[in-house]
Amino acid sequence: MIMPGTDGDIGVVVGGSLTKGLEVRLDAAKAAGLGQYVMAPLGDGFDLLGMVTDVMLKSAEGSATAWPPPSGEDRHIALLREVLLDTGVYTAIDVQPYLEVGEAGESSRARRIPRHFARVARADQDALTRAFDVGDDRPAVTLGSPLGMDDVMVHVDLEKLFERSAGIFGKSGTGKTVYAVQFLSGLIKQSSMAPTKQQRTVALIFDMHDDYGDYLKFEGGQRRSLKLLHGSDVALMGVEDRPGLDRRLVVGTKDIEPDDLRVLQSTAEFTQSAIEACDVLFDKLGHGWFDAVLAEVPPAALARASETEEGDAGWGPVLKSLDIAQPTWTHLRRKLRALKSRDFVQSGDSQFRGAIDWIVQSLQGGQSVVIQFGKHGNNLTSYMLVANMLSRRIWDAYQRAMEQARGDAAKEPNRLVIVIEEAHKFVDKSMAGQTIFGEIARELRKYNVTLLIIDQRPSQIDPEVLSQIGTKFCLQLDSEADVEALVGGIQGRSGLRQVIASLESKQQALVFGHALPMPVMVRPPEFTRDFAPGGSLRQRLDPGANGAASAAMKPLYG
Amino acid sequence: MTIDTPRVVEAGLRAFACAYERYVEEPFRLGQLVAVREGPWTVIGAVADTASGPDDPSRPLQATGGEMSAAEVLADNPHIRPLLRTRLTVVSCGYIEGEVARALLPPTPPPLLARVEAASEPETVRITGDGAFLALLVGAPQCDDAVLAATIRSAAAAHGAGAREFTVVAGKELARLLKADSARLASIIRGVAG
Repeated sequence: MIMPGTDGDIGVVVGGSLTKGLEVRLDAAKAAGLGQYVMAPLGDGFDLLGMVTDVMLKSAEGSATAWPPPSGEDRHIALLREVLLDTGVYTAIDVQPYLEVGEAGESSRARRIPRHFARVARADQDALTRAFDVGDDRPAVTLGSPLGMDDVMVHVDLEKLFERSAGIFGKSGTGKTVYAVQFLSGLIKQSSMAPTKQQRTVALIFDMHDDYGDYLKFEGGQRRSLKLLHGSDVALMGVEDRPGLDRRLVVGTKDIEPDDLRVLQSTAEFTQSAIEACDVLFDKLGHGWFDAVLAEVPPAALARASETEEGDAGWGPVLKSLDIAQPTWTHLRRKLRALKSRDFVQSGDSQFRGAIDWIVQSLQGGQSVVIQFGKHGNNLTSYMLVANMLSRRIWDAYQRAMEQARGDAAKEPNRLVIVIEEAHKFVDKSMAGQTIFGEIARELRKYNVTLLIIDQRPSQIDPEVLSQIGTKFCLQLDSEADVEALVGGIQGRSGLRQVIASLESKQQALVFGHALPMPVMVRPPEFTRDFAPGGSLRQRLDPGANGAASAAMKPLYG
Repeated sequence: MTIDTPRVVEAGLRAFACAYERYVEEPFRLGQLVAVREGPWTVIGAVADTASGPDDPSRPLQATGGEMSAAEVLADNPHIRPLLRTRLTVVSCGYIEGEVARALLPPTPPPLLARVEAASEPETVRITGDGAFLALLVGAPQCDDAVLAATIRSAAAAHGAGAREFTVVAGKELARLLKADSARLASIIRGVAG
């Protein structure tokens, strides 16, 4: 409970509403910043916990600001300015109410507000612990310190975080990847402590720029990343042939289906008519369609069926019989040749089926898998092709496993988080209904598969998919449309918009949504050279309980 | 000494008038806090006005004396001074009852003919410390900007090292009381700082 006159006191409630937020007049010489937590007594052992969503300069009467003190340092002018501060003019904050927290730790969504003149104080560790308590025995990772509260740490329940899909959003260079590595590191660490492999939550990471494997590029240098931090709990697969990989991924042309290419429409790689032509050819030729398209002459069966009276057995009559226009055909062949020119795409059969099995076995065996792209990471087409191909098949494997389990939890596959970057390309407004990622997001955790999407243009993501993103990590965004896309439909969204607009370009994030009882503006943990992921809350609080790792965690968890 | 101590000649709750037995050249100053210690409580007030003139208004003072100064005229005409009076208007701004100082109107007016003395520094600090005394002064018709400024200045002197802090507290209290009148506030503050 708040004790009036204590150091944490900052002001009094002077107005407002539950839906639009409270207005709090700050005491003289007190300050509060955007994103900070404050609390006010509700009167029955409960405190209201809210977030500062605006800071305002106000005047008690209009005359003070209509006739402000003149400039200058004369004694009377200086005195006039001083006496007007916090009397004629004052500072007020808007507070969005979020939670009612009880003395015993119970909490619920705010449905009441304090009375006029209730004292408002900065929320302390105790209040935040009550609000964000994840239980001592539940796996959790640190989000960071709420802004202006460096001595306080906020944690998120891992299970709840990946119960639904999550997203990390921010413009380029804001630290999305660093944040993602920290989370995934926490996830892998926590999963490794699970008593059975089936209880492990694992990640399948499509690592566009090779940041999630051995090293992460960080501020001109590098930091150890998931493979070096977690050893055998992480498997590395790459599309390039290079040492250090657990397995190389090669895609055979016979493995590619039209549905695998459909997603490439969003990069303008394939036109709609080209994809429709692929469907027709796949229907006629089955898995040999890709190689057939690149052949000089059509397969005999197709040629015979469409041979003309003049005996022309070339592609011309075939295309005519299949109703494929010549420009479409030309475009399709050019694009397929370009795909095949990639060194990880090979003619005919490959070990792709084996690669899928290997990935599924690794995942269900409790290992997270990082797919690295090497030099192909700069090519969005390569990235999307591989991510889409693998995800579709792994999603199928998980669906089959879930259906075979028939509700028997012991037989269900462990939980999988698929991590994709540049997500708006996969689930943009035109493509969301056609790619596997839109389906995964919509199905929630029905098949134990969720997404962690990392993106800089959330406004480009299909709103239906975005609405299924349970927990959102928002770093600095410049575009108003991107901000609106994230906060639309959320209680107190105008305040959250202000908070997002105030985020600095690095080391600040607003996290809100399913896994958290209320939004939190945090400074993520320092990504130090000796970064080590955390254990459970109890282990974090008891440095002796986790041996050497605890010592390494100290800089992270204080 | 006794003849230079004014006495209450008219008493009300909000203000009282006092007069010296004769004309004095240096009466209590504008804004000075004075105390009437006779009666059940000590009434504290601020000097809002001072006037000197003939005791009998029907017998106006003749302007005589040629080239002499005022002091020389009075010395040369000792019968004049007893016919003159110096009168003060004092606005109540609080009272002290035992250990308790209240910046409120006294329950009863000060007794007539009670002696009016300068308030001591401790009395001034107790009554003026939180600035609340200004509410009575701001509401009094006798107190214009000059009186308020002079009173704050006078009280600040009693606060010694805390004079600056007191001035700010009093100024903030004035700002609250005069919320819609920033021009008046600026005028008073100019007087306080000046």
